[in-house]
Amino acid sequence: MTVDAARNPYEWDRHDPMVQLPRTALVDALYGAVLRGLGVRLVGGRGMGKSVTLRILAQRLREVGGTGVALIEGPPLAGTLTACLDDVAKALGVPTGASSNLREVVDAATRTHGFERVVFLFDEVDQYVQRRVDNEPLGRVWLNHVESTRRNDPRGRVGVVAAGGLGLLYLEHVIGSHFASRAETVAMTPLSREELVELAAPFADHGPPLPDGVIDAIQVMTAGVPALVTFALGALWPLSTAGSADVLHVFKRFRRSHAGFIDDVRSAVTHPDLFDAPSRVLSHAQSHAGAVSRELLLEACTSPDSSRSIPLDRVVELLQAAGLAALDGHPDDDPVAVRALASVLTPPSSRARAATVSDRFVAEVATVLAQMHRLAKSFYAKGRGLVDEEVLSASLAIGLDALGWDTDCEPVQVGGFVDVKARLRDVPGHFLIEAKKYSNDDAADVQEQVDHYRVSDTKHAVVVMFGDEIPAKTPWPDAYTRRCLAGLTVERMSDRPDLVAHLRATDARGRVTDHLLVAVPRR
Amino acid sequence: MNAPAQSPLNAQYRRQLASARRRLARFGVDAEDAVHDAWVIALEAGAATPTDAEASRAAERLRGQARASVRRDVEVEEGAAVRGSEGIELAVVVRELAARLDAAAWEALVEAVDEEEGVARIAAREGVSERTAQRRVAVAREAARAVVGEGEDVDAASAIRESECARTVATSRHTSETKGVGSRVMSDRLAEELRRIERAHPKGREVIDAMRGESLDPTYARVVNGHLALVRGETPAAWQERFGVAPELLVVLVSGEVQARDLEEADREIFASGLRLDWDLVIVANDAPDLKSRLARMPGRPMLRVPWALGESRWNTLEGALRAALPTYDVFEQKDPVRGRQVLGREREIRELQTRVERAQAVGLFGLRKVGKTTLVRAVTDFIDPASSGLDGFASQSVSPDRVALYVDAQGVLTRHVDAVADELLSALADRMSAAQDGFPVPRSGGLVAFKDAVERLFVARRARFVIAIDEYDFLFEDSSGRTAPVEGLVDLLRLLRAWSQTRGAVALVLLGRDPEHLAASRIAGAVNPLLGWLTAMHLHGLDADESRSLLSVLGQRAGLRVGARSVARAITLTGGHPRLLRVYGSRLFELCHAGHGTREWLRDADPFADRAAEAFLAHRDTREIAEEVVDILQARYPDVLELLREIAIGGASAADLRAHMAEAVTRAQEFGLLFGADDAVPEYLRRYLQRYTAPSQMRRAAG
Repeated sequence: MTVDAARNPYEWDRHDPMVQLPRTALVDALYGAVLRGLGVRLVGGRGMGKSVTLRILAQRLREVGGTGVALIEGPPLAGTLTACLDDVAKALGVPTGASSNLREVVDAATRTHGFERVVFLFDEVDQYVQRRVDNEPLGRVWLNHVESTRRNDPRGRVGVVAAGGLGLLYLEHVIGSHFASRAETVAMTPLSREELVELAAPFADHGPPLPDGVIDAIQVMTAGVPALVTFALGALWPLSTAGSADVLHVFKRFRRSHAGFIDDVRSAVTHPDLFDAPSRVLSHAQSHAGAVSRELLLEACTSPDSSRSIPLDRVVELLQAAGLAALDGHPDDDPVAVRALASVLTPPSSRARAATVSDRFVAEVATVLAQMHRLAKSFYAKGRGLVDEEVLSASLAIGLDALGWDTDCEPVQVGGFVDVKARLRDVPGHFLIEAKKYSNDDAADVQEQVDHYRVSDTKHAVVVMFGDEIPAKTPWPDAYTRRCLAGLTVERMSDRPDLVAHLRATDARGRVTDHLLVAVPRR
Repeated sequence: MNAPAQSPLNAQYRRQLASARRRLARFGVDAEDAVHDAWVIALEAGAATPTDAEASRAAERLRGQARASVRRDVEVEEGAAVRGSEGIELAVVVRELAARLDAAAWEALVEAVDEEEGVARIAAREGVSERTAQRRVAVAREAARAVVGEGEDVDAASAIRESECARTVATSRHTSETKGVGSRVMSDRLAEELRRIERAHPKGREVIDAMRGESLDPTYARVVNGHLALVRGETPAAWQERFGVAPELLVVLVSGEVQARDLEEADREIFASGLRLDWDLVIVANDAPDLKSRLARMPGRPMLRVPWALGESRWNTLEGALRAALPTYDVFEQKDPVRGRQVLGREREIRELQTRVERAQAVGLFGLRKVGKTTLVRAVTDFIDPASSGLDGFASQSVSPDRVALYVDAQGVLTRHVDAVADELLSALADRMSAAQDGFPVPRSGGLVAFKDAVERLFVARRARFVIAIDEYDFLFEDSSGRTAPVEGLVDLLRLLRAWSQTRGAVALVLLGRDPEHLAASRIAGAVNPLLGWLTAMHLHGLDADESRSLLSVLGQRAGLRVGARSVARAITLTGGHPRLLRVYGSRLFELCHAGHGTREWLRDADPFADRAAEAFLAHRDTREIAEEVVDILQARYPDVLELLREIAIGGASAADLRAHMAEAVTRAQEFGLLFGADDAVPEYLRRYLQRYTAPSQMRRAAG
């Protein structure tokens, strides 16, 4: 992948970006199905690359002789069935207003252009579902008509892809759609780390390639959601060198300037006019450490009045295709190994109530850590173990940012700087976090390091110790106290949920440091 | 056979056909002899489309022959003593007969002219007993009567259709290119086409010789262009038995690289054959390198393209090519309704539906989604009116101008007004007339008024009788929330159809949907329901044990599997005979049997994989989706049935225990095929789903 080094090739909100992954397996699956005259629902959340994929597919189909491709980007403004037909006719290059049904449009296109087959690619199906025509959901009436045309074409000349998220689920299980019922399913998937590296390849033509820590930080903060990944790469492109702290800044900025995108991602899994089963399942996945009782999930999939339930496997499929969750087993298992993916899309949300700002700080750091513990698997790079401390720090910082803290993060290689510095608006002073992996050699000196960073307006300091290799025989808090807190007065605080221990250390000068021990197991 | 569309006498033939039919109906069985004689004589007169002069001469000879056979039956004499033009009419009728009968039946019919002698000849040639030969003759006669019996003879025709012969007719997909007189007529033309292929295609002679060498005798050939030729051959009986393939195979001979349009042409041929060919199998003979992967990449509907590579140093036999390719294609996998030879089982239902539509009745065909309603109705409409499939390119000999089937899918109706429904019907009618190469003008829109006008003009001009099938009829009665909200003006359409049925006996209506709820209501939108007292309900549920066995073993044969009793029994328990689910199970057997194995060994025994396939089936997405759909519908419309099934599946009750206080739910569940077998069992796929996904907490824990 080579690009003009002078021009930033990453445009996260374009459907025809300069740099894109071929997504070969995905496109192959769609391509094979539509050329066989099948219907396909392309399931994916916002920013997962559905539109880009449809465009790649359209391009590939146009290269097949005798294939007419109608790529329809969304419902027509008029929102009528006639307008839907006109859009399709226009896309196929036949006169609008001349056909009373889709079959006639197909016939006109085959007559006019000599097409042997026609493929319809409908994007933004969720929007069709939310519009109404003659008091009926446009999506149901229109897609049923499309399905009727596809299914009743005896030679299988008509292929259809409908791309959407929650709307597809709603179509099938709430209002009933024969399209959704007969269609094959192809689900979008988040980018793997390898794909992320491939997408970042142009950096090597432009300057130094992105270091592993940056790749890891992007992976951890985006969960591989293509739009977010592309946003990060685009934002890092102008920098001469990039570190994981820069990734934190990128996403802090993103959260402020593109809050609508995050809302859209959520609306792809929950919508007041549709239903919120996926959101309830996600909530369970976030609050459990990778295994949720099926009982609980089934209840989440059932409407409050028990009149309707949505199949759990479909809900999980949607969450996966939105880059919000992963399934490590089978939905029939009990418990179900569904886990939320850590990213800026799944921030911790509960703010702590505390008597003092310092107490609130400690409590909210613990909240973020508890989520990191539950989503621990997100912090493991395939074949490389737990990500580096700088990535963990950045994740911690972005979590606190979501809870209202203004955080700053320094790269570890910059000597003399603490890992995370946090402030709260209208509160003078700052708060420090020194984050360490317990397996690192310098973990024993952590108290000394954090003390070194204290300055006069430091309100409070916290040490976060990530336990990737927790001692098996001695209880970790005891081992930690002996190794890291020798000579200090140590008080064992009441343990917080999902933390191994909360220790409060006081030195001879009366300076207090809270030590939060959290396990980040691979599971 | 020549395509009459190209004949100047075509229109004349059409007119004459109607009167010939009426006349023949009076003659009964013996009329066939006269028909046959007329046909032979007309052909001997020198043309497949004889002129008046030729026909007159033929008629003279016909009279002579008929007089000679007067001892047989005075009616033969009466039937044979016709004017020259009537000779032509009869010839046309025979053409149609030839088009509709399968090879064996036609052969029998021809030879039944001299009855005793014919039986003896058939017995000798086929190596069967005279009794069997007699039976074939009887079948052929009955089949002939089924085709010609009309007008005054409607009742007789209906009776015939209920007999076994009707099944023979209905389940064989007939073509004009068959044996007997048809093939005799064709032989010269076939020979000429084969010679053209040999001249036009470098490998033509090689391929034709190879086909003959492997006993795949050509029955039809067509040079499409210098690049492409199509040859159909009669499949050797041994191959039919071993590979489960159709009685005819299509070989696509391509010079140079195969193109997508070549396969499109092959596709047209498959449908034009009246689906006598396997609709998902084509053999591509080609000498370009890399044929196999090129075929795999080609677009087109799901089908097996067997590469018959001609360019390799070692000659590949066709049998070898089939043997290698068949086990690579999952013939079970089919999500959409199936056609042609893929319709397996349902013979009783097909016969019943066909009988009812012949009697111009209204039939409601009810069942859950994907249980095969559309497949069933299309089997009937494809037979009654092949042109109703919407495909063009039918030789019009295979289409009766007066038998018109219209199939519309109500989910395709865009606006909730009867005119939109009528426009769909008009569109289907226009497509049908076009496919039949009938120039009768039909507008594609104009609403109910235009539809009424078009149908009534066809009553007069073609003496047409209609079968109107409306799929997903529920859409006409319900809005998206499932509330009853009939399409505006719908009752006017239903009234019209009923009137046509009752006054003319010329319209049958088939409504396909989930249940008869809307059709049994006393009123529709305030008006008296025209369907009351007219519509008969047919409930479609799973295939019975024999049909399930047949489906699995026939498809298994095609895929190189020997599906034995153990697998069949497991499949029935799992699926309750649901045809789509039987295919899902078959697919799992296919995957397991062929996983990691070469294709040298033909027919792998599937039974050792029965249990593993069952687990894979239960975990498979398609299985879960169907279970989800069933539960969705039950939740929304039949909570009592859902409760019943849960009581049985989770609570351990039996249907017999629950019948006392849930009688209606039991009946409904049986109608849907959700209770099957003598002990009213819940199919395992559904039981598993109910246990895992719908049980209340306590029950689920108990089931855990």
